[in-house]
Amino acid sequence: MKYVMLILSLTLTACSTAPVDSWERGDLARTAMQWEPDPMESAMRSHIYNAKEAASGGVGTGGGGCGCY
Amino acid sequence: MTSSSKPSRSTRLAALTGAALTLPAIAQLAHGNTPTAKTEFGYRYSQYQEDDADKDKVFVGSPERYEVKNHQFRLATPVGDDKVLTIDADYETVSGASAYGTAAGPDGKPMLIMSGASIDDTRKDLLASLRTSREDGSLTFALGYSTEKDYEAFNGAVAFEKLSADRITTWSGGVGFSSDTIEPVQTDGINRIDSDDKWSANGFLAVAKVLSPLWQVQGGVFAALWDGYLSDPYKARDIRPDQRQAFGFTGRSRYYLKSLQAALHTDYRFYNDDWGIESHTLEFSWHQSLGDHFRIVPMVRYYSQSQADFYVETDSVLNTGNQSSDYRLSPFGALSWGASLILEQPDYRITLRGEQYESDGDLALKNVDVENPALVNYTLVTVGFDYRF
Repeated sequence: MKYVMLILSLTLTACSTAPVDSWERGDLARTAMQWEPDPMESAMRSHIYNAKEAASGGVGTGGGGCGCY
Repeated sequence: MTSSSKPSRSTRLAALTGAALTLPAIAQLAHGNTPTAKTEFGYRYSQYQEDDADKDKVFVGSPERYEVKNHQFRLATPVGDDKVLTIDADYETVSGASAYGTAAGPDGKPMLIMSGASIDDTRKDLLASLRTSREDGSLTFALGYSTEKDYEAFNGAVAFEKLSADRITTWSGGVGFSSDTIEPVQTDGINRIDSDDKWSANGFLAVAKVLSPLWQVQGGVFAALWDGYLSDPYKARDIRPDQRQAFGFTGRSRYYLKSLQAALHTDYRFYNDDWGIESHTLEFSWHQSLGDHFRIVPMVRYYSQSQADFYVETDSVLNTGNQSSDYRLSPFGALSWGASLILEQPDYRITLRGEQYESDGDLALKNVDVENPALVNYTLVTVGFDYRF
């Protein structure tokens, strides 16, 4: 738990910034700026990586059942 | 997946290693479905082809490896004013051969004992999620089911998003659970378990922040626990601990270069588990707009992992205790690169994508003395479309 708090605290501290008004967010709203612009592609790629590598998990990875070729 | 002839099908355990061990439901939640006033339908067809194994490293069996044909379907539709129901379905066929085990070759280095090219299986996967959005965040519930000839999994998850009042900071998190059962296909002369099961749970917590009108970042931590039968019943000799705990963290950045009309994506993940495996994953992608309707997205990804404590280079009846020669538990690195070409219109989108993946002991961050001969190279090609109505 201490690692969790440390990492997230550092993230927040390092990222302190001035507010961005809603009218300034046009570029942030672009598809190309999303965390996962294509969720189906992300799911497929994660599914394969998880089947070929020992590591798995994170924020925004996925797969389904076994599918362990 | 099952095989139709001797020496039986082989491996494919990821169910029991890291692969299936991620919880699909919770993972899907993290992808996020932004509230929509329209129904959206998506389809992807992907062809996955592994290179043949090096014949000089095959002791016995077919050098052919897996070929997978995957169909993905997604339907997202609004329910009432504040909910979106998303249904994801996968249908996948798998054929080819995989490593049954390893044995010492004439020079003492490990060589592959491959299954016959007889594996033939299908996987069907269904995941339903309901997301309720509010002014300051969202709450999502998901349930999933997956089945193969020898494998069945049920999973569920709940996840949230919470925005700060100034909408600069977004907290997100979730927990999930999966219950899996394996009933290996039996082969005459090979002593396998009849049936066994495992369960797994995981969770994540992340915080994202808008740094400027052109830049946002996210940091997150995740943890996972697996308990039960984690060995591979299709390996010659594979004995793994019956529990595994993992921890990791992620960092992501999205930066828009206005003058170039391009977005730079940077993703990093650190992973560590109590099997002794530590890995680093770093990916860059460049989302370049070409006019008003086209986008091209080249990407490169680097991955490196250390070996499991009980990894062995060659199988031997003289080995005692936990042991596995599975290449997925061996030390290696991998490099993949590819590109997508996307046509975007108001009501539809067409996607074409290709990726090449190559793994090698020499690509690992730390020196690898003896590389596992089963390390895989593959090509992935995807075509798809999305339609809003």
